[in-house]
Amino acid sequence: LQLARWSPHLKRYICEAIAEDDGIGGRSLQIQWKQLILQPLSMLKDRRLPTFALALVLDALDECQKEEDITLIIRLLAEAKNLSPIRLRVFVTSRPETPIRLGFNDLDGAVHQDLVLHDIAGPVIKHDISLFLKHELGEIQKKHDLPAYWPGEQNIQLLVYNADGLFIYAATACRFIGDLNCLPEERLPLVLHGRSVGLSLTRTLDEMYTQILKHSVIGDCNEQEEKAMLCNRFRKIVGPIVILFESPSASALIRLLAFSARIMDVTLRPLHSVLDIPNNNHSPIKLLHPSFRDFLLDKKRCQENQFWISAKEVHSNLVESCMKVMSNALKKDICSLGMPGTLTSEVENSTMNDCLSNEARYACRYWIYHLEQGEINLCDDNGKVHAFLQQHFLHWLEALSLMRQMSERVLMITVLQSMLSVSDAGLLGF
Amino acid sequence: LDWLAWNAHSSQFLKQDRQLEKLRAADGAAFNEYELQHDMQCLSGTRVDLLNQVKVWSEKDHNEHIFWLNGMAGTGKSTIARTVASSFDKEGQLGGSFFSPVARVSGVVLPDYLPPLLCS
Repeated sequence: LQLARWSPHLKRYICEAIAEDDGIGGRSLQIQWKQLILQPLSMLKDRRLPTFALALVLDALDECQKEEDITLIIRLLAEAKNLSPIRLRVFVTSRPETPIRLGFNDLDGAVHQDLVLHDIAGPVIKHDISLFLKHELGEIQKKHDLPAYWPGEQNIQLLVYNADGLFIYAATACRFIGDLNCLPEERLPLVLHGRSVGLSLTRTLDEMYTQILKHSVIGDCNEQEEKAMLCNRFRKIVGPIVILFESPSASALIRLLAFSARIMDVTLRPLHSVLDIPNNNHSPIKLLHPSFRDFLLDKKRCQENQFWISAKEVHSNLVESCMKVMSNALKKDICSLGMPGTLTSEVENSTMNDCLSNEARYACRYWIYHLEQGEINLCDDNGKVHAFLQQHFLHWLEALSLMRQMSERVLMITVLQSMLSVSDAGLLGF
Repeated sequence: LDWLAWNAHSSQFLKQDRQLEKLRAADGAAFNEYELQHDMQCLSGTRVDLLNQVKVWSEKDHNEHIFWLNGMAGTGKSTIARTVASSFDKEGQLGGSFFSPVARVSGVVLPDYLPPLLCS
């Protein structure tokens, strides 16, 4: 779609491709890439245009879920090299993960240039980070009316040293220090304090996250019991935020987890330096950087055990929450259509959205995946899953088909079956 | 007559728009879409050499049409990608950009994350 907006001619060719194949949006990547992008682009040839450049930017290729897809995308991108008269330029970024490295290595001939970001000479990065820190801290100094000498060259150099090449360290530190509800001159020493010589690459980043959490979650509280309560609440609320397959809005999260809005609010409010928390209840709450999730879920990195989040545990708790939400929401003929023979295509998406809340739709789509990731043994869950399926299996299928997720459903049932390989006869019979 | 021609023209456009609607756009993936606006780009004066290198690569006529920037978490890949996308955009050369929302857990296949990526 972005391509179509770029050139009216291109728009025409893309539309022709859609007209030829109505269901193209659901076809495989190869076919889409070829018919919607390569072919329309090569048809531009006929119009005697001078050679011109067209750029695509793809960020974070490593966040595609399937390895095969990554390899495929890289191969497809490489196919575009002989396009003319257009000079296509594709800018891709990713973590240096194995499937991606292999994917690029497999390409024959010289079709790509590589640049390894963490191999750039130290002094260059240090210079850039210190420039960034000076700019950000300068803004903070103005906003908080601090004396002009704050924070001082020495402190900046310490921060640069601690960042150890990681921009996310510098950016997170500045967000934490510059929090409008606090005094930056008190927070700066907090960040600087507790530095130790790096054992691992993420050591200083991990320590800063720990500092931030200690300060934001526990604060001045000294009582063991209260501390444990606060940390528990943090894990109960932030755990799902980092684990859920889609970023939840505050209101959906409140209903899914059955927490009160006030508890949610006081727990999340101090976490602005690591979470992107919108002002309203309907926009999604997101992590500011994936490294925060990596940190929380890794027991080795998250040394203060009170903050460590067990992915498995959160997944299995979410299964229960999902089943509760679904049990309350699902019923026969959920959209009150009245007619069993109604076609899915006749039901507007909006009708479905009115009948089923965000969290119920989320639960329908993802509970099976939480079940899988939670590694729940279906034999000793007291038959909860079995009971749910007995009562709501057909309602669940109805909801999914109205959500136009039938093809996914097949995958989900396969997952469910594979989990039953050694399970009890009652469920397998089902 | 002019009016008729214009009318025919615009209905053609409407038809095209309706056809494009059949493709699912990757929601919020384009770099300048609202949700990403508060995200940062490189501060001017930083990453000078790197951005120059990208510029040279994009302008030169050669076969290395893919530029792969890789780096560990937190080294600033997305910020650079946003900067690059916006500079292509200023030149009128940006065909499309895809930024992932920071919201996925690894290990699970989300079947329809990928197709919409290419649809947009």
